[in-house]
Amino acid sequence: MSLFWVHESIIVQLHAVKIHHSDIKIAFVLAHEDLKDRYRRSYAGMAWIVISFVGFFGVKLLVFSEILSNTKQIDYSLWLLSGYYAWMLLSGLVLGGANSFNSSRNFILSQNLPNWIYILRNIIYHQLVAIYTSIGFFILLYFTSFEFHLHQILSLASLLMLYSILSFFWSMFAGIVTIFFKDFYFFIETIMKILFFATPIFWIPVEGSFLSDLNQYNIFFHLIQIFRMPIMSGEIPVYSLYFVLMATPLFLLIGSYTYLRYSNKISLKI
Amino acid sequence: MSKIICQNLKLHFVNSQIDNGFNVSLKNGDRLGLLGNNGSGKTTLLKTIIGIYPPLKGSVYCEGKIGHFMNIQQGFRQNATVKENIQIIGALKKLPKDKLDLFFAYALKFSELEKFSNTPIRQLSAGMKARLAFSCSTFEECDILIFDEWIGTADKPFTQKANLRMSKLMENKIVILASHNEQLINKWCNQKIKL
Repeated sequence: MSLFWVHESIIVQLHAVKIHHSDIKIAFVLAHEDLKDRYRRSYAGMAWIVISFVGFFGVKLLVFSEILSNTKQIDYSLWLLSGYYAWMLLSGLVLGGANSFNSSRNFILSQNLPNWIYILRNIIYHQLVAIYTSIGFFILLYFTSFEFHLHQILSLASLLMLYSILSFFWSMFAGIVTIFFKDFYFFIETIMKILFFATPIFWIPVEGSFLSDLNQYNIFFHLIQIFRMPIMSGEIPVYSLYFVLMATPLFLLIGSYTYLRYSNKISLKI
Repeated sequence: MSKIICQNLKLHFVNSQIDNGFNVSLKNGDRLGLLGNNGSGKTTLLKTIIGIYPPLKGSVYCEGKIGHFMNIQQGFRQNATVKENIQIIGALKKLPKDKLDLFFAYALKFSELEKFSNTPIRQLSAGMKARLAFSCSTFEECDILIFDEWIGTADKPFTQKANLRMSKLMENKIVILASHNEQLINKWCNQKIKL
């Protein structure tokens, strides 16, 4: 593989990545249809997203506030709510991203559309789910000690944007790797299940403990902290923000390289 | 002036390939029939020309708007209604807003499925689905028309109507029709290649 070939390939692919308004519209229509399709013929429809979120949160709050002894120091319901909400968003984007091309197989094999549309389709889908989850989130938030401030709402919006950007680059990498090696998806799924317990979502880290130290290298912990801390205390977790900002170019580099190098093989391997 | 040029084209997934690859040059008015048994590479060749698959070797050059009639039923949402499916296809075709309404009306009227607009696709017969697929595909005039087989499952009156529509759409266009039916190829094409 010569350097010239890589250069040529990147030029060709960059041309294909040229964004058109109509392509974004296609991604939106497909994502919206995916969501409608999932809840079609059900009586509660998309309200299930809210019901499921509130139900899970309620059970977790009941169980873990009993188990954990150190919850008196902070508002545990707010801790759990913000962590669980951020995790739901992140895990959806991570798993959906790894499956973005597989779930669009029929379209990839029958339409000549740019492949990034399918990544965008997945992100928009999870954004729509996030909007519905937010209904449950804000209802529950009302019953906590949280006081609404405009900057907190703005930080939520910018966080959704940051999650989506990271998710786009992640999907460029993971979506393609999953096509070549299906095991990768199950690997990520397993990792996410482990991280659900290893990340401080429903438990509170004790400073200096092994798990707490370990989580300093866990990007999910930092992504959740960026969301959680402004809600909990109005503070911005500077270290977590640096960590995520340092990781973003890495995601961009790996994602872009994988996509530019291998996206022309998606229809062949899928 | 539209054209298709395939030079030394070799395809993925196809075992028996022509030694020097597939070579063809088509211009307006050319109607190429691709004959071959199942697995001979007809669909793969069409998908390579459309741009769904990259070539294994050689090159494909297309100039002009391509309209293809391949696996459109594959893209149907089985649980969505006829109306919703037409809307999705309209979006995939990147039609502007003013044309979307025309497309919607045309697809329902031509397929004669006005009464079924709120029926889920899974409740339609194979023939009705074929009618809808054909109607959605033939709304716009394209420079290059690519067919993988003809409308197989539609009834006789609709097939006659579809043939008329196709004759109109094919006038002075590049057409590629893949089929294992030699009679069909002889009827519609002025060139043929056996794969």
